[in-house]
Amino acid sequence: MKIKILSASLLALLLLPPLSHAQEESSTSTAALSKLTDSWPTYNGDYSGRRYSSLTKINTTTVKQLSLAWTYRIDTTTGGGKRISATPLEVDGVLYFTVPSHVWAVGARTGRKLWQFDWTSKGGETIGNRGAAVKGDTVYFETEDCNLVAIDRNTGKEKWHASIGNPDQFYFGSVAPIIVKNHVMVGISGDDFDNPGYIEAHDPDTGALQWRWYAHPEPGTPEAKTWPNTEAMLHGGGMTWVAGTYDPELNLYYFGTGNAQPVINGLARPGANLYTSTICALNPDTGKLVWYFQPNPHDTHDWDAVQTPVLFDGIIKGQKRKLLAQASRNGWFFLLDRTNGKNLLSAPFAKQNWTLGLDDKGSPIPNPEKMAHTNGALVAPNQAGAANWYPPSFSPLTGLFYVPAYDAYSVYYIYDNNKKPEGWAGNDRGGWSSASLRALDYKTGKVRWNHKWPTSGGRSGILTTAGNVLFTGDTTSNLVAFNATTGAILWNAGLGNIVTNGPITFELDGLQYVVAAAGDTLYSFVLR
Amino acid sequence: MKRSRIILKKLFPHIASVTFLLGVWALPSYAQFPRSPVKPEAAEAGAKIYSAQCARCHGDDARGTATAPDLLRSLAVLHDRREMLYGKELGPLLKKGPNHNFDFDEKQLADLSQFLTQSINSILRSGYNAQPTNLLSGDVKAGEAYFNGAGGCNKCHSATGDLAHVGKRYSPAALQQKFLFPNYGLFVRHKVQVTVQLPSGKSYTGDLLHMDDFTVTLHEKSGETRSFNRTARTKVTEEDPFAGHIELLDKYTDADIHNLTTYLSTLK
Repeated sequence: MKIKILSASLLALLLLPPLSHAQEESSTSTAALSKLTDSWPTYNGDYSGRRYSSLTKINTTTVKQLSLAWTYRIDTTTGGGKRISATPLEVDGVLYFTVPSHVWAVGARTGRKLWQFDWTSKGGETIGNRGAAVKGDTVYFETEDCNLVAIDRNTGKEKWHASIGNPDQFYFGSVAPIIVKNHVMVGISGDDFDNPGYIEAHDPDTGALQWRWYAHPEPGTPEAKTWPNTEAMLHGGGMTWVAGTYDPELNLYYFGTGNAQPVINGLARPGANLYTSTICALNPDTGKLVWYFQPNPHDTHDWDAVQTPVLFDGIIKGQKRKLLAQASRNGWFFLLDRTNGKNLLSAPFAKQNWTLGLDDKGSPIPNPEKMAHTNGALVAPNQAGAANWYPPSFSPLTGLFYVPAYDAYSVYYIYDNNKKPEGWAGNDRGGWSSASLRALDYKTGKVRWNHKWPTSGGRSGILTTAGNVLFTGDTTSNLVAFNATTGAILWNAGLGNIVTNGPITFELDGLQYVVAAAGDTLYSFVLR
Repeated sequence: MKRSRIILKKLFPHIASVTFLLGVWALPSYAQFPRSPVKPEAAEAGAKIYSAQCARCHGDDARGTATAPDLLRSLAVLHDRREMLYGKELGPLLKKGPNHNFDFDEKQLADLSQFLTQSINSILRSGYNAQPTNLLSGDVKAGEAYFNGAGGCNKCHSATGDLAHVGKRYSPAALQQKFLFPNYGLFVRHKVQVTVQLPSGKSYTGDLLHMDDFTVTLHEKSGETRSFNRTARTKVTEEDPFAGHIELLDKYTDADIHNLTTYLSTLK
């Protein structure tokens, strides 16, 4: 069996024409990553984070004719979970995807394995790996034991690896790297313990660290006053769990940071706790912060603010604006001017009961009554959040922002009342939730249409296309296609598992494909 | 973590899928490897050494004082924990570090290492084995009044009937969760009742086993399991036996919850 697989892989490798240098470069150039055409060369398809494809062959009429092209099942994992939560990349007819410590190159036409890369991990958190990055002839991914690994795209062999953190401190790698010019942008995960989050840029050729930006202010700056003392600030959290977005014209890299630490008991860190649970804009060449906006001041619910900051242009009060939108885990939708971070709209998009209103910058004001208490506080949303890491989508065709939305309650408890709480010091328990696919008007945050799933359960990412079709997974095991304007269901396929990633689309040889992962299997559908 | 997982496993043999269904707040079945397990007797022996030799400067809880650093955040201690070095690299530091002159033997170092590992494990998300405390801070009378008044609990329940001795049967933490989320998470007891009416007019009722936008599966009282396609003229109606509890989620104040917990706990 093994020999058979090996020979099939070798055959596939032999059959694959070696990529020319020019082809490799053009497929992953800044221009190619800036506007999504017929491939899927970066985590969100392109830099905007919209997950909107301009392909139209699959549309509201033809989607019913989608048929299964192939499936590819993985049989290797590290740490236990055989769940593909990576968004695959499609570059030059090859799909690249990951699970913790493993990367695959699979023919996008055939579903045949070209190579598999296995990293020997020294351990870490293996809740998932969100995907790879490709630049030229190199594939990059993060390992849970805190390495950025560069792999030869043609052979699947390691070129180099570079440390991105200290796993002793519970840091781990899970984020899909993003290529921005000559930088490999790397996020870091790990909120078990009281450490600062950060973003790093590495040299794409050598792996050398170019800069690291910590998710806390410099001591002595006005922002540092949002912490009671420097020690709390330097152990204050703010992990960078989700790949960022990028505006090449403004040369700004956008991402959200995670929860403050200690996570649930925030009594020893009074203040807004910048730059945790904050949307940040960095200059990718220098690693300097240009602006910030905090969706979730003084986070005590593990809600973060890491949901993809989606970039698009729109008209606000008659004026053309460069916008950034986030449907945040805390139940609020934020619309910002992405040139300067100025808040244009803050509106709840799901059940929430934790705020006392908005401050003058548009950030919600947390209600102390709805922070965790030793006798419990009933809070909406729950810790899983109104949104989570599952990628949202924005369609310029409909002007709608689509998010997998949960209305949910749980009870938050403080367990550790130590005067110096550390780590978690509490948690939430139990819960009720109602799951929906929600389409928001970006100008008002109002729900334009809502599809309530019949039962609560899993979540998955969203894809929209110029064919006016929206693809996502339901809460059980279907990949479902909707009319993006009306929310009417057009097509579905039962996959035997919850869709565990964000679906992608691409075109090869004039045929449009849709690929989604469900558990340990990639499913590829094609319109012939 | 361990105890919760055993309970989960008892309730749900297919632990991985349940974890996913429960959502992100549920315990991940594949987090943190390798683990750094602790032998309780070694940690206990280590705690004694710590208390006698280290606590004066580093604090009773090892979280540091004005004169000595937090040991839970010490890179040397964190490295010892993750690599499970049992104090091998801590020994030289304790012997010759600034203000340190301790000549611990191998076992003492291992015990100390186990105590510090346990102290770190206990603050992690995945390390928690803690229970909510202080749940009986509410007002019994107000809880009773809510039960019989605004909460409307007495429409379905009776303090001397189905809920007699409920305070004896459940810990306050379990009790609080049970009235808030009686049919969710770990407490799924009674299935949602579903009725499927076919275009022919024929209808079937039973426990809801599965439903999405395309199919519905129910389990009839007769023991038969039936699945149906949700075609345009097939009517599906659901009845959640705990719908009243869910409606209350939008209405409770936290004081109502605390009072009710305290009152129900008196029903011994």
